[in-house]
Amino acid sequence: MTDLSKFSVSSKSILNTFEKCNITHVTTVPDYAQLSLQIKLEEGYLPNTRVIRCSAEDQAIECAAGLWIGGKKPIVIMQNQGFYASINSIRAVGIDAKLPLVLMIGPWGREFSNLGQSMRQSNRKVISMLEPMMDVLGIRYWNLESSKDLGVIPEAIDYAFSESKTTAILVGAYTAWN
Amino acid sequence: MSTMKVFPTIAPDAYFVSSVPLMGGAGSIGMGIAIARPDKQIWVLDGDASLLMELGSLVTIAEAAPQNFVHILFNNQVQYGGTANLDLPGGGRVDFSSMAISAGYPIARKIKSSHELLEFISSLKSNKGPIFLDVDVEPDASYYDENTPQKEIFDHQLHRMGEEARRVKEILTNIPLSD
Repeated sequence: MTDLSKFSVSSKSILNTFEKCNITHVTTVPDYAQLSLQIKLEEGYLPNTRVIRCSAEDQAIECAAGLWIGGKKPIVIMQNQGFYASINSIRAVGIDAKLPLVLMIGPWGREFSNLGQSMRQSNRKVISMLEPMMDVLGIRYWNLESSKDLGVIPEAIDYAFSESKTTAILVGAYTAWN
Repeated sequence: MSTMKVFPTIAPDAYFVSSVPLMGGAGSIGMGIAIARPDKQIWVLDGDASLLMELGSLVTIAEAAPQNFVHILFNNQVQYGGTANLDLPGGGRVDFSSMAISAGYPIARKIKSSHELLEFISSLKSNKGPIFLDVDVEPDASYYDENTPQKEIFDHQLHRMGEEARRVKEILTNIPLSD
């Protein structure tokens, strides 16, 4: 049986990192893998960070762009299916218009037996095609596969806003409830 | 489509951001700006074909409830208005202002004349948004046909949103947030 605790990253640690990075807004459509994090956000764990619930990922992308135009520093939380669904908005806003976007993408459907290995080796397309899709789109991404990787969050955020690029943080496992 | 072509000509304004090429994105981009800058009134000029592509954005906007947000829908009941005027699904039957009310907009109106439009716009400052106006318009005459085929899409069409967004961001950065 897979020991998820080796792979799950504390949701509080992730949110504390958002705070250190001065994230002002989270635009989101729920992600099965990041439920613990999203519930903490809804409960007001970060009182100075506003959560904007969107009915589809396109809107989360576009709203994040508008927030940046208005001087804010947003992050987008979604799951892999939402990423696939919103590629044209990412293409328009992030790639062609070159507005900064940080996407934190959960691994909906990742088989536990794939944890600890590359997502590319997953038996499930919804998982295995995520990194190749990033490569096709030219999106720089970082893997958050365990607590040791928490440093990739500020790296992805800093790169997106300093270089005006789209970046992605690929969450490896369910975020932990602590 | 008609709005996108005409507005920069009749009302050139440095505060203008085009949601192109991204049909359906204007409402949510405008919502983001409105949330970030509650001291400014943000107008979104949308099209019926565009809004249909992201109909759920009505709910998202109503949920976020930016009071400084005015959503003006130019309803010409066609797709590629002014270029090909293809029939729009649901053209003429969809009641967008009722949809906006159902989604949670506190104010939504169907506008059928320029007089009604001007009268409503003059009252905007006294109302809190998000506000939705569904404005009936005639589509421009179709431009393309067998003798006038489509032109190449130039690079500028892909980059203009970014250029305009950076310009608006710079302007807003230089205007301190006021109460």
